[in-house]
Amino acid sequence: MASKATKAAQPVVHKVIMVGSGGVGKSALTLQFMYDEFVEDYEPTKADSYRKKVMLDGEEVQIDILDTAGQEDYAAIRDNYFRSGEGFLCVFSITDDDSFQATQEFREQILRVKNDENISFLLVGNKCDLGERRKVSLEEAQNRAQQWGVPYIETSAKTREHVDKVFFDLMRDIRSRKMDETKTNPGKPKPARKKLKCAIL
Amino acid sequence: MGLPPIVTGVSPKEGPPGTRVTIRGENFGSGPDDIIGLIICNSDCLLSAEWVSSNKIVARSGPGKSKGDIVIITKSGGKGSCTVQFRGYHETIGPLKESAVWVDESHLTGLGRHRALIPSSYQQDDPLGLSVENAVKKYPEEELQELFPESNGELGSENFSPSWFLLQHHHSTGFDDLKAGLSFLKRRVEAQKEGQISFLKTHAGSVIEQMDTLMTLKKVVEENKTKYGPDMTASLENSILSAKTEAGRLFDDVLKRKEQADGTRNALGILQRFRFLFHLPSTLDKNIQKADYDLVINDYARANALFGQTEVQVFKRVLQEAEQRILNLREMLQEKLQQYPASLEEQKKIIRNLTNLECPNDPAWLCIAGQYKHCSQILFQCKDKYLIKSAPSKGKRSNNLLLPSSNSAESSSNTTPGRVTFLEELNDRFTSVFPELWKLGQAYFAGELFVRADTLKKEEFKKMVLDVVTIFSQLIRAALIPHTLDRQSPHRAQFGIWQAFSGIFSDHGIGSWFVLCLRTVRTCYAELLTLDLPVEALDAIRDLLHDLRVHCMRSLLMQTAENITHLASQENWKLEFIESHGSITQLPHIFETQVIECLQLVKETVFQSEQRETNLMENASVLNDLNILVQKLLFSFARSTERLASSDQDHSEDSTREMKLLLGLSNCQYTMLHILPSFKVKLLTTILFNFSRLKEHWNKLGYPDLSAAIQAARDLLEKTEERLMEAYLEEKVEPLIGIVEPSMYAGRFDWNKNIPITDDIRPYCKEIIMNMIAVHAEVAQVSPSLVPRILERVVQEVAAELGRLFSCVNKFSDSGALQASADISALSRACFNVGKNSNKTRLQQFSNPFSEAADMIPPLTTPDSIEYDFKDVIDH
Repeated sequence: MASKATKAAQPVVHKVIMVGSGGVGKSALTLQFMYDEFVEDYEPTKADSYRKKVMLDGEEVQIDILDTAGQEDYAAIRDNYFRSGEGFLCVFSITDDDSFQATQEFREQILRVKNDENISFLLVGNKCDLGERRKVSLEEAQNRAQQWGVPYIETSAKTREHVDKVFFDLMRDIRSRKMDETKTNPGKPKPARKKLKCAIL
Repeated sequence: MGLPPIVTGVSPKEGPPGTRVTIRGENFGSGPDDIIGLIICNSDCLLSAEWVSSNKIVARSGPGKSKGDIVIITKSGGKGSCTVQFRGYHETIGPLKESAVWVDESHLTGLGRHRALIPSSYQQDDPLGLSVENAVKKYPEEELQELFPESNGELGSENFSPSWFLLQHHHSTGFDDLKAGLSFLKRRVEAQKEGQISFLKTHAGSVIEQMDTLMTLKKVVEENKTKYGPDMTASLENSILSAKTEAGRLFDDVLKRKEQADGTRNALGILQRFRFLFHLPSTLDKNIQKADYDLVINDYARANALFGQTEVQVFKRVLQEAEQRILNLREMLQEKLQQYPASLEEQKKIIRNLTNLECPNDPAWLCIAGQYKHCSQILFQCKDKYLIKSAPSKGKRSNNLLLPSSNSAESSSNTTPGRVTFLEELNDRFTSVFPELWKLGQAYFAGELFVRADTLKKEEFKKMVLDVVTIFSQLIRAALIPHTLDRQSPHRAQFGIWQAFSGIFSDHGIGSWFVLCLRTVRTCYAELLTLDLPVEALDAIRDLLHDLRVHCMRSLLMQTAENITHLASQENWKLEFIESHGSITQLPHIFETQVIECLQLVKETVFQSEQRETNLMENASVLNDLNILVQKLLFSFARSTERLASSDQDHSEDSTREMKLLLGLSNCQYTMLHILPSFKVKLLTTILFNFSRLKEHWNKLGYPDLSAAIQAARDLLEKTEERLMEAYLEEKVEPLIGIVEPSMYAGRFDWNKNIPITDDIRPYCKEIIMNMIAVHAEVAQVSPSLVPRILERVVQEVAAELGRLFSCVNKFSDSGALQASADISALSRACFNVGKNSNKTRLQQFSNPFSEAADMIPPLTTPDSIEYDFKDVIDH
């Protein structure tokens, strides 16, 4: 087990959570980002965890990706996962309208759990290499993103188009929010919570 | 030493023991053997690890509980680290949980008195004696772990942390309750302490008893020590050892015998168990004798599989014996494979057996090569057989020539010429042997012969096939059309040199034999076509067929020409009357039927090209040949007729000769007028029958030539007719003219004398008219159409003679002149009458010759009487 001291020495961690319906390519995006590999065969995810060091604008940070299950079977345990997330990549497939409609639900669930309107959130339209099978128009998706006040990016886990972009954009957003947080209430954030628990003891 | 492995991804990140976990990261070693350790949550999972790549390992999680690191240890990189963790948890099996394991639910579902037992066995009492029911909201374990690393909340654990425990179980319990719990715990600890002393008190009796026993034991041991010395068990050991040796001695003998018996039994058992192996050589022998090779191969393969690797000497020996037999069998089969004739199926079977026997050199190929050799051999053998046969028969024939009386029947009874039977047998042999070779080869390359086909040998095989086909065609050429073979070729002799066609052979009609040969070769060709042979091979036969056909056509036409030339000898001078023409003999008809038959035969056999044959019609030289031959054919008739005219010089009876000449004339004319024009049509229809689409081509190449041939024949016939006509006229006119002068001056007649006036013309005149009537009758009887032509010539000749005679008269007396002019008038009137039957132009010509004679006669004085006379004559 890594000791707490070594953990503290590690660069700052940004926790990213992949959400979206089953089969839209969350794991594919993650694996493409992490290991530059494209997995052809589909195997439903339960909950996968990834973490690696990346250079974000010259600064070494760690990205922790929680790849969640898209299947409805696991909908009940999502709450727990969402709580720990700092940023969300809400993925749908441009070839599947149902997956696009489902993003609305995910968005609502995240806002309910986080109890915060102002979170790092990116709407991602995956499988943009399959343009000929497109079911969700660019405008439709852009409208929804605009309505939510979040960026919309189209990606392809197969061709790696915009894959790095979505992760780095999200990390930048997370970083800027964290900096805002420390600025607005400098003394309070995490240490305060720890103290509170000690008090219970 | 490489970089240490680092785990950066885990999928899934939590699960019960046995979860299939995909671990991703870097430097996972160079291969499956490089991984020497995999620890998930402190439990070793190396056994289940499946190395996929240096970035991916799939393993099953161990029994580790709660969150823990994933550590990979490689030979090359040492102990690694991780950035992600795996959380193992134990699923509680409850009544509602899906499980593959059957759960005994009796104590859960039981009612009544069993109920009391449940809590103690299923749920641990809370040490604080507090109810856990209100601890609904559990404190998240992860946060506990973060707060208290290296400790846990389990009561029995070394790292037990009370804070963890309290937070985990009682984080929502009130402070008063906790205080009450503490006092409860204290009370229980007190109770436990008191319990130890009270335990001893209640069991004091038995404790003292135990102490006494221990004392007694100590006393006995001390006594024994003084009695036996410090080593108390030495003597005991000695006696045990001696007893052991004694017992060993007792049983040694029995054991030895038992061992022997066991050995024998073992050997028997082995013999029984490996009966198959020990019987193998004899079974192989038996099956080889029965020719059941499949069984042999099967047995041998089985033995090899079972005992091939054996180290046992006996087995090795038996196997060697079996191997020796297999080797013999292999040799035997190889020999058998080279034996011919053998059916394709048999050969395939042997090849399969040989392949199964792992014969070193490609048996299938050997078989093909052998078959090829056999093929060519059989063809050459056939040739030799007939060449030898024909040679002595030739010798015999020459003997026959020396002694014509003897054995002439034998040679004539031998109706079928030797080379025709040769061709038939050659063909039979070829069609029986060659398809086998081809099929074998095809099977070989299609991989049906249980061996991997060597594609390099394809060329070689093709060469073989071509070779055989070439031999076949060359042999036929040598026998039938030797002129098509290259005389200079060094291989020429090997195809056999046949004698040139002998007289006897041609007497039998070489053409019809050629037709037979052609048909034989054609059937062979048709059979080959079904075999899907390479184009070159088919071409060889096709060329052969082409040459044969050309030759056949040539010989057929030449023979017919010959036959027609000899037609004259068949003339029987029987008359046939044709309505439109007159009388002719059979000759023209025979000629016609022969020509038509011949052409029909030529068409059917030669020109009708069958499947995949060259079209002779398209070959210019062939067409040229055809033209020349047809012309010859037509000429031959003219020649025949002419011979007829010239042949009977020695004939005694003149009348028949005249008759024959006349008939010949008639025949010529008939042929010219009726048969030749119809030929033009018939020839065309005969030859072009199947080639309507070639008509243009034909027109371009050969049609004008053919009509020219007919024209030439016609010219020749005309000439012949002319000659015949001359001959006939000579025969007829000569005597006619010859009698005019003696008859005129019979009885010392003199034109200058006064002759008594009679009311009749002179007898010579009558005689002339009578003769002319006779000629007219003769000609008209045979051919009315010839009458004008012949009579015209006759009249001209007579008139010329009369003119000559009158010009020789010195002086006419009055009465003489009267008589002469009366004669001439009568003659011209007679001829005028004759001419009336013909057309008017002829009439003019007829009257002219006599006018020349009339001019010689002095003018008449009394014309009235002449009129009278003439009427009289005409009435006569």
